[in-house]
Amino acid sequence: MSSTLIAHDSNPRSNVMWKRLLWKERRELTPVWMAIMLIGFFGLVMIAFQASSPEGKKEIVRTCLYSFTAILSATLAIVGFASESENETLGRLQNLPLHPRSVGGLKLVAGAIATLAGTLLLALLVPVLCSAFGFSLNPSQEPLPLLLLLVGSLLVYFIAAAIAMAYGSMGKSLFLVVALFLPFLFWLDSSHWHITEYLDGNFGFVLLIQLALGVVAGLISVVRLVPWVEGRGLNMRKVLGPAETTSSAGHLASVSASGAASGGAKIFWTCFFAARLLQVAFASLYAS
Amino acid sequence: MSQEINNNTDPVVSITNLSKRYGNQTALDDISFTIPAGVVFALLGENGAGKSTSLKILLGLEKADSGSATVLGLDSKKRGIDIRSAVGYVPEAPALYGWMTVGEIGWFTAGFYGDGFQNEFERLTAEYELPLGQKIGKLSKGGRAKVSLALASAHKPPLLVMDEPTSGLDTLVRRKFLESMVDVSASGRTVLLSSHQIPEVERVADIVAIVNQGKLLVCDTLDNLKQTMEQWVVTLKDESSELPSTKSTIVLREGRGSRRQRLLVSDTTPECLWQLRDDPVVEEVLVHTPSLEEIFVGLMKSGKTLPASKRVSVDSPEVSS
Repeated sequence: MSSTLIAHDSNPRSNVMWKRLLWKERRELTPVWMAIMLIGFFGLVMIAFQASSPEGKKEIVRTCLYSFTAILSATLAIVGFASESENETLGRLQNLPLHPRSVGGLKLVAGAIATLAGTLLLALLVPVLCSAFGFSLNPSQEPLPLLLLLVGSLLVYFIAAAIAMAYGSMGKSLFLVVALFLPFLFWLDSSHWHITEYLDGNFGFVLLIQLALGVVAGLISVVRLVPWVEGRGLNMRKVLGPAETTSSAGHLASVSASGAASGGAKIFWTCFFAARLLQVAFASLYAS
Repeated sequence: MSQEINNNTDPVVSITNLSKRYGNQTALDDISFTIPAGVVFALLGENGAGKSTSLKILLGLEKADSGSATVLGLDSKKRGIDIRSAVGYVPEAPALYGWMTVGEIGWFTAGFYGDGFQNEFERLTAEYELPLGQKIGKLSKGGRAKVSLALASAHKPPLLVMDEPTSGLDTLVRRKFLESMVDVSASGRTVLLSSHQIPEVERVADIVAIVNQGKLLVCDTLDNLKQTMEQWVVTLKDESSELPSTKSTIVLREGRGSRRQRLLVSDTTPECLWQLRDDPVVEEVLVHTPSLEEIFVGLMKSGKTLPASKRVSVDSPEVSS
């Protein structure tokens, strides 16, 4: 249309937009972050004092430190994605003049930063407190070093975010997401991420397959998830959003939900394989 | 950020042969209409008729399978972000962050629009008697609807899109909401309103489009619709008599088998009426101007699509702004 002047230049207010979005994420995540940090910190100290021997204290605190960081990662991811999907406030964000992929990308980044900050703080504070009470726990000298802990918690965060996106957009139920995530968390806990296998150099055929899949899936997830790739890849709106707002339009709502499930499943698997790739790669580096 | 500027003679919204399917369900089936500037345009239909889908396609939130849609001259397939930047949108169930205060959500949203947003938002909230320090979670449903309207209007959009805006609101709030729509339209801006609350739409709409199961049944000015449609209440002399056929387009016939039958007719002529009145089996024919609700019910029950002449054109002289 000749008479229509298009002068909405790309991003004169983008800095302000990002700042406001980050402010919102910070306000949403901070109460959860604080609560888990307090529980984690005092919980670890209490658990340590329950153990009888110094070696037992070390072992139990180290295991629980991992568990708490995993819980922190998973909770931040669930709060960041599934709860907002459940409350349908993601719809509010999608109605703003902003690419939905940017919303998803920013949420991932904000949650990842909160996860790393929480893990780092726990990992540094707990040994300090432990040494003040007469026994040593230094993650940098332990079999599970600080860097591995940080990478691990980040992986849990991304996997939990993928699950939250997939199931949150399917059922829009926070309880469902938590219920579905719990077995996964137990599996992670019981296997210690299978890190010991990698550390022992036990790279079998299955691991190589995982590595290959991880390379492919990682590349796909980067192309699809990274916010600065505009106009390509997976439609984050379908993954994140309450697609149909007409509550009474049952058939449309159900159809939209199934579309979201498909997108969510893709994200879930790409994130999962990417996470496995990073895990294997990091563990092999560490082993070497 | 500069705004899109649309020439007044161009349609604000133009939809051409738009179709959308979700799996086996047809949400929109070859829909076409245009909306001129400065009117209140009502998109009517039952739940699941395709109203929300149409609005989402217009805002670039959904992609159509075929056909095209432009808003303020922008292709909704490619320029969704620009469209959402230029128009105001009030969703059906405004999902607002309950933990934010009224002032905070205004400040948050202002980051996505021009510089005047914050001041205008504060002016509107004062007008709606919403305290800026009040948590949104503590507001009534009506209060939240007002916040949503203020957020959608604060950048003074040339087009305000509202999806079932009065759903769940009490009478007084609804009335105020509707008045605000008239005010918006009076200021030269366009309102696109989706609703199934027919009586309230009748009070404010200039142009009405009725959709049913994804099909556009009619699109015309409210005045035209009422002029071209009549409700005939025919009393027969005998219950066993058959109602004589007329040359009018009968949209709906109710009360078959009884003495009194109601017809909703379209494109009729005085001759048709005289002919019916003169018929020996007819005792009396009363003619009423149908309400929008009666027209709506008639079209929905009959499922008839009125001729293309009932699709308003942007330069139609009947369109009042």
